[in-house]
Amino acid sequence: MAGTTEKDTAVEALNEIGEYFAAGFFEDGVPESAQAMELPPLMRVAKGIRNHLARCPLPPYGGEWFYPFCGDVWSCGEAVWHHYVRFGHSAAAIDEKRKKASTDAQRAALDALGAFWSTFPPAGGYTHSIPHYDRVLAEGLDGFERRIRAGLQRARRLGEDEKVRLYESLLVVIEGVRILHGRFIGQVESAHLSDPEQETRRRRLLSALRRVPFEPATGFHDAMVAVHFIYVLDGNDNLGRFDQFMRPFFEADRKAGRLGRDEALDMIRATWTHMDRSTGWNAAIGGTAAGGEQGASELTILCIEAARGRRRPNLALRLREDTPQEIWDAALDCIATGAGLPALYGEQNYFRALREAHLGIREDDLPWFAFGGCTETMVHGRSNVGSLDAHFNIPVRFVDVLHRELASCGTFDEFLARFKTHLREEVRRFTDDISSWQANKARYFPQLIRTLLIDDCIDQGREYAAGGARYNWSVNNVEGIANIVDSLCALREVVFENREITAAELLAVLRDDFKGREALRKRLEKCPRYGNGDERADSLAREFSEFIFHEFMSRAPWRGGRFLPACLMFVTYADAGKPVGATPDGRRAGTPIADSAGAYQGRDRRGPTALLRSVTSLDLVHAPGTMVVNIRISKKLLSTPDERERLKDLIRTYFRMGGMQIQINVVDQAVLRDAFEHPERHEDLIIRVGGYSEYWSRLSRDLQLSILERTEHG
Amino acid sequence: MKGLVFDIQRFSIHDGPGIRTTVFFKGCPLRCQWCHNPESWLGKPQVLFYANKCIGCGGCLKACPIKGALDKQSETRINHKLCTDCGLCAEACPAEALVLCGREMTVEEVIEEVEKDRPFYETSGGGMTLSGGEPLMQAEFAIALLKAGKSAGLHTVLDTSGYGKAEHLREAARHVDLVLFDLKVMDAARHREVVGVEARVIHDNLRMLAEVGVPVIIRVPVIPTRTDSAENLRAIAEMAASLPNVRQVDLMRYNRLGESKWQRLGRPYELNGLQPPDDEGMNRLKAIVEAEKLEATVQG
Repeated sequence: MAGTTEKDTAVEALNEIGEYFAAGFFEDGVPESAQAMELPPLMRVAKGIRNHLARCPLPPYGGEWFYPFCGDVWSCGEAVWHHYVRFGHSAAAIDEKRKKASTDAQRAALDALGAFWSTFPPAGGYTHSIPHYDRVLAEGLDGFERRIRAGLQRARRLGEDEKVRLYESLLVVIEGVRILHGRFIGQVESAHLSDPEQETRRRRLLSALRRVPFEPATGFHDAMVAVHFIYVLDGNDNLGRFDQFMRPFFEADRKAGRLGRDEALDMIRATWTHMDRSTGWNAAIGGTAAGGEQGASELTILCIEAARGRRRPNLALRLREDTPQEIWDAALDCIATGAGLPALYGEQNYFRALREAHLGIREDDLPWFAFGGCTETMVHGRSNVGSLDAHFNIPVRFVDVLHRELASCGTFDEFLARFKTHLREEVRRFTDDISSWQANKARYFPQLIRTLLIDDCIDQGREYAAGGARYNWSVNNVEGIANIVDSLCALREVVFENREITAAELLAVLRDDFKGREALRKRLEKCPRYGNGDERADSLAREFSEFIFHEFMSRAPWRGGRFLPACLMFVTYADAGKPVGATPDGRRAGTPIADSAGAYQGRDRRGPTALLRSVTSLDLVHAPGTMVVNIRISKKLLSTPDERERLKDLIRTYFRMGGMQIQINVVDQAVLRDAFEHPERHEDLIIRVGGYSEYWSRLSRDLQLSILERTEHG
Repeated sequence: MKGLVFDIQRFSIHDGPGIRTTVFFKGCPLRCQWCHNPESWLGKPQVLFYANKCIGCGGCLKACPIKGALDKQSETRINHKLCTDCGLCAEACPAEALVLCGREMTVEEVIEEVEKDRPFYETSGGGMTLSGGEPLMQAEFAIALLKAGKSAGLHTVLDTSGYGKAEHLREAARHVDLVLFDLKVMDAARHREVVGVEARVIHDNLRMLAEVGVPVIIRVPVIPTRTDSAENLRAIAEMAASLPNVRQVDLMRYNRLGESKWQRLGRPYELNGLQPPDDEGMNRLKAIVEAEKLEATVQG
């Protein structure tokens, strides 16, 4: 360990060059390597957070409802960053900073930083989550601090050293949050606004910030301010069941005449705008209230209304058999604007799937399921689901097995059996990797903001990455099912049943990417295909999904719970196709694979009822991680009340058949074609892809093309 | 028993209540100038060519047994004078560029397909619709299908031009919940000219349905210069209003979807360049219908 003077010089240099998190991390010395520090580095991370929150640059206040508006506090160009994903470093950013460094001390500090940070082990991907907003509203962060202090005393009494270390570090984090809070107040206080409306908002914001989030919220406005603060503190991730936990405040203020509908709508719009511009994610609205009754309300409608024509938040509307017509109307109106929001969820099927997964979810927690990121299933305020720990690309593995095994298989069943054996082994390896990453996360990458905000970390005295959340399961993307089903159908018919072509010949054609064999490629496309309600394909889809979902569900991650299959591919299905060679379903090498759980682009040709029938042939009840289905409906199908009613019938029937989720894009083919040729004319066009909505102009050409190829129903 | 069907369309939402499956019968005695399903006229299978799907593999030429029936140089590919519509080329075509339109199906086969969407009918109050072509051209099959549908507990709709034998329609009407009945042109001479058959048969049949008492919705294709005169609409509305089983008239806006199909079939399309009527025009006609105390809708 370096000496005190050297250490102080390093910390000073790091602060000078804006490496606040790292400077705090090194307050108690610069270790040789990650392995040489006390693990997990709770106090180091806490001091990193505190230092960051005390020094990170803050934007000016401009008279909005909330502060900071459309910004965040975590990304300010640090080469060693702290974020909800976890913390880590960018070697490239260190190099960049080194070039700009002005003193030897700064250069030396950066060299030490790079050397030290490269010693951390791999720890895998994302962790979307939902802070327990409602608990902050009820207890205030002061209440959280009291619980931490009580926990600390208890742990000291019992001699539980690990818990002592955790609670002590949480107090440092709270201290940092207090500093940040004071800085926010300072920014709002010092703003000079000439617009009277903005000035009124400023005064109200200031008065709210003097109480929340440290004291409990008392009304809709200060609750919104508190939620905004927590949302920003958590890194602009998810809001969870916003309309449920805000409803008591909303209704009390409405009833007392303190809150106008338009004012509430305006505040919600501001929250949505903030989420949109700060790359925020999900808000789950509607569905069953805490007491089991219908929970959709006027506030739910405002949430939907505020989302019209927007890209984010990724609004997830939970629907029940008794969801009122006004909610449906608001949802279909919003969907008709074409941005794909809200996505619709058949709630009863989630309840069933979550129960059948035996995740140990308490009955009173079950109504609180919600979504993070695209649509990873988790329990509001109580989950660390390791959302999208990793992606399991089936087609890339299929092509590999195909070329090794097909020629020596006498029957289709033999091939399918060998493919499954191989996949079983791959799933084992894949899930083992995730478990080892999870163990590394717990040991090297404690997440103290989330430990603060998610139950039961404080109450159990266990850090979030170490399993402190009440629910720990791992949601994993299982990609390309449609391509596998279509390919298996084609193999069965063309190679094994009709013997139109030998296995060796087909493999040669695939290796050549169908060069000169367009007629054969078209022939393969004519085989039964998933997405058309064709039992020949759907029965395979059922069998294969049962198999692959079971392989995931029967394994337990290191942190606890199970591996939950999902298929929510956002924009990733184009990239996922790049390493995949030509497939027997007629798909060319390197082109996108199927988007999420839907049909392969353009292969569903029998209308939406047939597509949805195919989707419900999947073993959905064993994939509560969410199987996303994108469907494109022609605009003219939403023009009359009767037509809307039919769309509603379509969705309700799908849910009755077991369907879990559906998102509807309403964009006419002519518009899309024009947008493909002239993206510059369609800067505002929003498209639903994978699990959520994105601007057309931000999508790659491959992805645009694949969306153009999607079947338009209606 | 078998019938000739050229399409079965699921998620049909404009051919009766709810979400429906529409069975399109091939064969029609009418020759409406605006027909958007001209491939449904002939009561036999027909080979159709979709030029944009052709990959030029030549599989069709090898499969075709008649010299000259397929002409690779021709835009429409098929020489209809020589082609016997045997369908061998369509079978050989991997790209679905050549398609045999019209398939012999049994009642059971059709019902099996229709049954696939039963959950959707149950939610929406939908069911099966027979359309075409003209279902009454294959009356025996249509009646058998409707009977089978009813005994399977399906809501059934017959979409008809009304041109057929009275006893067939009377029998069919016993097994349907609703009839969608086209009235196009009331003037006899004009009807003969643009539709190609006698209007009297149709009007007699419509009155007969009133006697039977089956609910009927009148559908009027609104074709500029052909059916869209105020006088024509007034005559239609008057007739509709005189029938106790008719409460509603649907005004179906002309669309140009048929244009390319006519070309594909090698038939000259007389309505080339005709624009669909605008909202104002449609609403004017709607008002004429409503003046007769009928419910009127505009579709398309």
